[in-house]
Amino acid sequence: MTSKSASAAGAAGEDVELLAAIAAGDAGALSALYDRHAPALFALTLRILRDRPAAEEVVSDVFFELWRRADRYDSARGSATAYLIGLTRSRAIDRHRAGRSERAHVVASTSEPSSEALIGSTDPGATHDATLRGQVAAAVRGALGSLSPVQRRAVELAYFDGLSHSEVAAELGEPLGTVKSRIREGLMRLRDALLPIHESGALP
Amino acid sequence: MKCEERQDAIALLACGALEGVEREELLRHLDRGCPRCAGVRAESEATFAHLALALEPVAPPAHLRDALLERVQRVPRPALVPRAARSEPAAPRSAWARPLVAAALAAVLTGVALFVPTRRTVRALEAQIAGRDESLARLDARLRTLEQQQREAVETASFLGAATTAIYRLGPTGTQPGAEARVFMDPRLRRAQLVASNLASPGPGRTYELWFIEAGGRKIPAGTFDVDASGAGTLSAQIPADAAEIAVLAITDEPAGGSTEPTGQVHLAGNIQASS
Repeated sequence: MTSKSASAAGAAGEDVELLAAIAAGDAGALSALYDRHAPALFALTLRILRDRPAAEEVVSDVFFELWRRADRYDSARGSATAYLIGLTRSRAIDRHRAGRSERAHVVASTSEPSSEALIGSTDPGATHDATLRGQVAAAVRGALGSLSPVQRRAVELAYFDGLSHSEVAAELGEPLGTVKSRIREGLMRLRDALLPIHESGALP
Repeated sequence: MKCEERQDAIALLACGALEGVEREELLRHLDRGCPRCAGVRAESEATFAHLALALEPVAPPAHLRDALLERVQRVPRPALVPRAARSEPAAPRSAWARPLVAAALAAVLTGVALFVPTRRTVRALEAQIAGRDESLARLDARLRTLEQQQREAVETASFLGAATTAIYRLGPTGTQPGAEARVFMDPRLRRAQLVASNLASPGPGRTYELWFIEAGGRKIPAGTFDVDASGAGTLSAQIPADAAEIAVLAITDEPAGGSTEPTGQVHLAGNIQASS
């Protein structure tokens, strides 16, 4: 273990402790968890909703929900970070879908800026971020960069825009079966790209 | 459907894109506890979550934090029991390695990682165990009683069968004409076993008492006994070491707990020397 990975494991351990303290009614633990994760979660809600006030509201609601129902987190099912991201994505997608029905077009056209604009360069070599999050971001960018544009788009439409697989197929003008395998292929490449980071133990 | 054929569907589920009957079918399959598919799902969800971590973090405005904390202060809330604290102490983990490790474990250990008991099942099991413990305690007490009875029966049988045991008959004295009793006595073991029948209930607050009466007239209390609904009663008695030769056996009714000297009526009596 490097000192970096040790501190990373410590941070993950702290998340679990913070969630336990929140469950016990410790408001200070909630603000500590907020300080640690709110920027990443706000970036996620902004990406999904593309609406600043709505994104702020969802982040606030997620932490308030954590405050009220911190006992729902089960460490046996996954890391606290994964839980926070999953919960935030789910609430943001719900909000997005509710708003979507009011809009004429379900999603923007495929010429809309993709991950490149959102997460910067797809060249993994371009990022030399020393932080763990930087390493992960670089690995994910590298994995996304190795996907074909339409493959990457399929993953993003599902994950960030909350489209169902038939909606993704319609959006991309591709058969359902093709979309399914594209998303699976995207998942495999992401996983393979992240594997070296997981194995080194250097994780956020 | 084979689990290999579910891989595309699990990937779609993990990024939230699976819908319709396919989603329902997969969720049913997962609910049934397939460890392999659950492991793949956990790993897939964790992998997709990295998409969020790849975004450039954006600090929310300070007022959002203030408003949240103010909102929290306004809501009194009882302490909750976090799931993390309900099970075993969590193993050291890193944020993303954990789901991967859990997934690998799930696949390798065929579900050990997935069948972590929930708080509810633990409570139900504890209640069941408590119930079983109670039944066990009852059975244990019953077993001890039966063992005791069996020891007594064996002892009595061997006592009654011993060559030195003599049998004396006690006859009614007139108060209860139908009553009778036999006393088995072994002078060597200084033991006596009374078997009485057709005795009426001695009445509330009263009991029957057997007496050893020495040839010299001293009356030695041998113990009290009660009778059942059919009028049968038994008593095992020890003949005191200092007792002289016993000439007469008698049964009286006495206040509950017995007396040191006979005070009630004599209901049955027998002359030992006469009968032997």
